Amino acid sequence: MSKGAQITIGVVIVALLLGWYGYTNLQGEASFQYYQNLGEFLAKSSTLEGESLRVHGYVANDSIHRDLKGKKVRFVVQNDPPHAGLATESTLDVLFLGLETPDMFKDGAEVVIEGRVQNHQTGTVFLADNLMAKCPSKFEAQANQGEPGGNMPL
Amino acid sequence: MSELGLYSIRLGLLAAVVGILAGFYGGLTRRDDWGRVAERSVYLVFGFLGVAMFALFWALANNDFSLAYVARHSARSMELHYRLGALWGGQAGSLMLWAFLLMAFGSAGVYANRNLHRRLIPWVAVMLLLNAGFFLGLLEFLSNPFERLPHDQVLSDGQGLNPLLQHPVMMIHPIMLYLGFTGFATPFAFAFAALVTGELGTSWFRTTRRWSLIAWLALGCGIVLGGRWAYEVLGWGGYWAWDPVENASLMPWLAATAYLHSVMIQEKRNMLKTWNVVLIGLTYCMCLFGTFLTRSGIVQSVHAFTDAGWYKPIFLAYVGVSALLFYSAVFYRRRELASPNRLESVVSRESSFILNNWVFMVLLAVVFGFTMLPVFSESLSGERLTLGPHFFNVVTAPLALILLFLTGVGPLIAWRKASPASLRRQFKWPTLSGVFSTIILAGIFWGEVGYWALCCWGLCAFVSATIIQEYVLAIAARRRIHGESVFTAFATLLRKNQRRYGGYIIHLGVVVMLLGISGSVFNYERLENMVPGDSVDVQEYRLEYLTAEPITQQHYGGATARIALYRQENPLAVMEPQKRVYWLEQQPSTIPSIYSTWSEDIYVILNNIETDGSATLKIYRNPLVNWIWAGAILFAMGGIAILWPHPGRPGSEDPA
Repeated sequence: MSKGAQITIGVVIVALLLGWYGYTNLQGEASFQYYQNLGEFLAKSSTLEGESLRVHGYVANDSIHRDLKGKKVRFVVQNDPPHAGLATESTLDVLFLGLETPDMFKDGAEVVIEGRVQNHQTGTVFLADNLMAKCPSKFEAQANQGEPGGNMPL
Repeated sequence: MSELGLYSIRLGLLAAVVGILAGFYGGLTRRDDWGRVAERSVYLVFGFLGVAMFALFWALANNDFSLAYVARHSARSMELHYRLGALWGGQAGSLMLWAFLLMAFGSAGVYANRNLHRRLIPWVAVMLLLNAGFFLGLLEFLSNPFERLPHDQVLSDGQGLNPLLQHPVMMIHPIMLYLGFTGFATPFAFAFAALVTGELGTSWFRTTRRWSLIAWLALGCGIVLGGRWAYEVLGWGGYWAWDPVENASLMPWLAATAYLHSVMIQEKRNMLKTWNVVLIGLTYCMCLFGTFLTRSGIVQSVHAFTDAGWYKPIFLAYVGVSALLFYSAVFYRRRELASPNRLESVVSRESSFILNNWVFMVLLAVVFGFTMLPVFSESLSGERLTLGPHFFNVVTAPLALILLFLTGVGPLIAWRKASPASLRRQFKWPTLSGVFSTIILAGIFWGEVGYWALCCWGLCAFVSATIIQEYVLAIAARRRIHGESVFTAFATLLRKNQRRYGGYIIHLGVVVMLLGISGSVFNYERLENMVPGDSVDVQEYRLEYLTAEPITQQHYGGATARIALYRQENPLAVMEPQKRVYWLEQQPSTIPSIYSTWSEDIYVILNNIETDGSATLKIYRNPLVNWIWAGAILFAMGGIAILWPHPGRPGSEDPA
């Protein structure tokens, strides 16, 4: 058998194995996530039920309720920062399945929530299994410089 | 003092421009006097950057808050070493560190080769100074660390450094990472010079390889230190999250690893010349791209919310021009680069190395594609798609295992064409070790772990066995022939054949790290809301929440939870995770408490003291994490063994 044929066969076998592996392991898992801000999300939230989502918004003032027994946190996300003073037209109720909220998570914090959306008769609830936050205030410019969580700025 | 810095940057920029022009002229006309001007410009720019670094260090150490940079990134209350570390805590300072390390490494490279590769030097200088000039231009015109605050705004104290960065690892990690990133500029410049001059003989890449190795080691150590910092400071229980910022440092490392392997084929068999220059170019472009990725905020990262308007177009153009310049030169010399030799057999060391290169390229493509997916998908379809860490793990794990397998195969298989008899002889014991380890571990852990973990452990045993076999056989031979003791024989091997036996230590380090990473299949975590006196079992450990105390420190407040850790009712430690708020910066931070052993870490985070006085705690049991750090130390030691200078033995190198 020529070297070319040997190599081709090897590559095909490896590609098939990898393809099979990827197919079996990534099926049904949180695969692609749509990253949207709240406005974009709300415009088509009815069609996104069951999809894996990543939504960006701001925590509404006085909306955080920690349920210690049930290990859940409820809060409301809106499209613009509360301190910006813009009228908020629509908001999203979020149920975070856990208590381990990030340090920066508080009223007005800019958040990214990951999870799925559930539509009930009473309204839409976002079930978040991941919650990320960054700081809301004037200090933001400062925090940007140091990128907490990654490597140093380059 | 700060005027000194200001003028040093200006003069440095001037010297860089002069050097570039002189290098071009000297290179084109082959006039050595102009070449020397270019060469000296390299040293001069390095000198000016050194002075500028010193001036900024001085300003930081002496609390010169009239400088905007010092006022924004330092404070009187910070300890001296963190005040100095603030030099790379912000944009302008880190750009300067970039340029300084680039020229430090570059000057050393030029100085060491000034007589060896006379004709290359002008072009090397041009390339290095173009890069340094770019950064000096940024410093001079867009982001000057010596910019003064207006007189009416001068503060008596600064705003302080982000407390998360006030950590010992942060004193080393950025330097290592930048040393890696900028270090590849030197081999890149030498490759470029070889392409331009057409002196594509064997000598330039030997030099290049050695300098790449230093950069590669520094980058590797920098990546691991970054993981260590994340683990100890960020308090999310892990060390690697496939964040764009992390990926930015991994991508050049992958390209460089491929290069360091394929360059051996060029050395031994004079093949793959084109491929090697393509790889060294790719490595440096990935370094630049990584820098761009981190600083531009083009991909939404959990960590890096950077926004610098001017940065994106200018830096992207810089990456593009560098790549274009380099690859035009490769294209121009494509005929000279064609290799006379062909692959003789599929079963040979060459082919195992080529396969290694392919897998590294696939890995790089995967990391690149996944990281950039939000950008690509938005520009194509208007929808931003992102991929979670799970996706990265699933796709990279089998590729890593293939590489692990090749790590064992490569060193044992013969060049050109391996005979069946030599294959049997070389692979008998390693294969048996791998198979038996897999069977034994499968017997113990069947049902608990997937076959990927078993596969990984089996391969780790296989690779370790190949390395041990290589050492045992070589040491036995030396004992027989020279009558040396085991230790002397070991030392002689490392000295006489640095790259081969040092390389094995690096491989062993990687194996140990992979074992540590594979420990994550046993990761266990639980979230508890506890009141004092509550107790929770984490497998054979028991954690009892004792009390919470307020913190009364000068710079930060918050709470410390005290938790007693028992193992089968033997008290082990009192763990004290903290939740801090830094007053000056108004920044909260979570400090985990880690009880670390060789078999596992118990990692506790105080998430919150709730309004009813209870504590929300997150408890992780992370097996084998210490092996990752131990493996990294082995990795670094192997690298040092390769680079260790042995006077009088310049020609002792034999590729592993």
